[in-house]
Amino acid sequence: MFTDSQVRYLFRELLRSFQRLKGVSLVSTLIMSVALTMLALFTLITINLHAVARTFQNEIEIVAFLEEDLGTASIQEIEQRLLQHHGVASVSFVSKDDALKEFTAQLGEDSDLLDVLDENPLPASLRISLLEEAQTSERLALLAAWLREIPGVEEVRYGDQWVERLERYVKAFLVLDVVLGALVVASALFVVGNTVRLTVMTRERSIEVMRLVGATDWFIRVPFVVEGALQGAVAAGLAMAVLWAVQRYATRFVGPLVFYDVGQIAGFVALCAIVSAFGSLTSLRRFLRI
Amino acid sequence: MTNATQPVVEHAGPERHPIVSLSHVTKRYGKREALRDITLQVEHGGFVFVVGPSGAGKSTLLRLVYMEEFPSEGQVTVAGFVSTRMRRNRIPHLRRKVGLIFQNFKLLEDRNVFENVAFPLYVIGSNRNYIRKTVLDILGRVGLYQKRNSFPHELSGGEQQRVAIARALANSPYVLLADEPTGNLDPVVAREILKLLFRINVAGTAVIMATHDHDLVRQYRQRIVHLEHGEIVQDESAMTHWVPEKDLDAWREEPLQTQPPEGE
Repeated sequence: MFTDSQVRYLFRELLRSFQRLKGVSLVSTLIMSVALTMLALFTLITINLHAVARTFQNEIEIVAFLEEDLGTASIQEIEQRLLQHHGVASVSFVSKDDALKEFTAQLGEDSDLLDVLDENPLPASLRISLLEEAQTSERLALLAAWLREIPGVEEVRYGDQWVERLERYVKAFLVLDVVLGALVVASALFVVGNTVRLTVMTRERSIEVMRLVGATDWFIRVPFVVEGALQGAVAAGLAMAVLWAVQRYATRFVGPLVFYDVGQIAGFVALCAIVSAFGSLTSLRRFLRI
Repeated sequence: MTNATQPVVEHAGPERHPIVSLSHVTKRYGKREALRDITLQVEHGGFVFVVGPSGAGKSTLLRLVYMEEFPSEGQVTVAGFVSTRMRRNRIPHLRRKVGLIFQNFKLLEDRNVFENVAFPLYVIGSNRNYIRKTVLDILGRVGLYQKRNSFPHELSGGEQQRVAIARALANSPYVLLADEPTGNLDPVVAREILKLLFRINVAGTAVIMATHDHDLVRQYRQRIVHLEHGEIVQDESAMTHWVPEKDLDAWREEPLQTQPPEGE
């Protein structure tokens, strides 16, 4: 597309423009990186919230209390039926004795209270943990209703209200994320557009001369596009660095947090570079009609 | 000097054909007619002054020639490029065959003389050695070899215009378009610039120069096209051998102010 000397020339041109516009480039890169930090921060909060929700959801289980004196064979039969049911991940049997031990452990020092009892009042139960896709409030309700119909099952319990609330939170944060993301992308494009306008203004003469001496449109555009891409990448990298520091600091107070993995960081930087280059190109079109 | 033996009339022979041709060109901006029914031909190697008061349409005429604008009616043909069939991506190719100079020079203030003149060559991707050789040669021809490392603000107006002329020559254009090139210069310097344009013309490049300064150009026996209110009111054809033979010889023999030293 371009000859060696044109490439060398464009590269020098880029350095020259950075030199000349040190202040403007720096400020706009900083503004952009602040906006990106906000976006990345909120996304990170959502990711962490989601992670927390996930761990809680993994603890969501349905407990089916069994009738007294149910034979081992019947229990196994029920277990088999459950395992074949759609959405069930695993089933574990908790005997009367196990339940008592667990209860004793939970009571801790107050476990003496149990001594007054002659016999173990706790029923045996089946604890059913669910696949992730089945962990919605509707599916839980359906499953619970189905369980109640099984002979030998006396009672079914699950934390229904709690699940519903958690779901609402995650959904709300996702909406917030999308709205914020849109705002940040829009403002990032605006900042890039403004920078390009400033750059165009300072380079108006050289652009005019380029057109007069027969530079192709792409030859004129390339420095702007590359500059935009670099700016986006640097701003994104900076945002990630800041966020990483914030995350390290926050970890001290709230315990381990999830951070973006290398692939996500690379993706974020690349995406910002592309968006910024695109912003450069479109605002160049607007200001120069090229 | 090998070309000293060539006849002056080399570009004035019967084989002349137009490098620039306007045919019934009208240019309107909204309702206002900037140019009306202009028909004008400039031969290969020709020289034309376009004279008229400001607002007569001189700049518009030149802009039509370098195809910054396109006619509302009629057709402009420049070095084989035809305005009615011009595609946007062909314009750069036309510009590489047309040299442009302006009243306000349009130099790049942050680049030195050498870089300014080299600019068109960088843009089209010539190789470095060629650029260096060509630019130094041209700077020698316009007498600015020694100022090659100066920046525009360090130069006088006349010198700046000579840099602009050197830049316009970098691509060896078929035609040089000059829009009020002497407008910012005092008469003495203006004459120097004119002399430089004549020299360039003698070397084979057609020149179209627009100016409001009739007094400056009437003393030369050159073709003058008078433009008023967007119309050609008079076309004084050039007298043959308008430059005294001895002057031409003097221009050729006159040592260029600052030839590049050997080996550089």
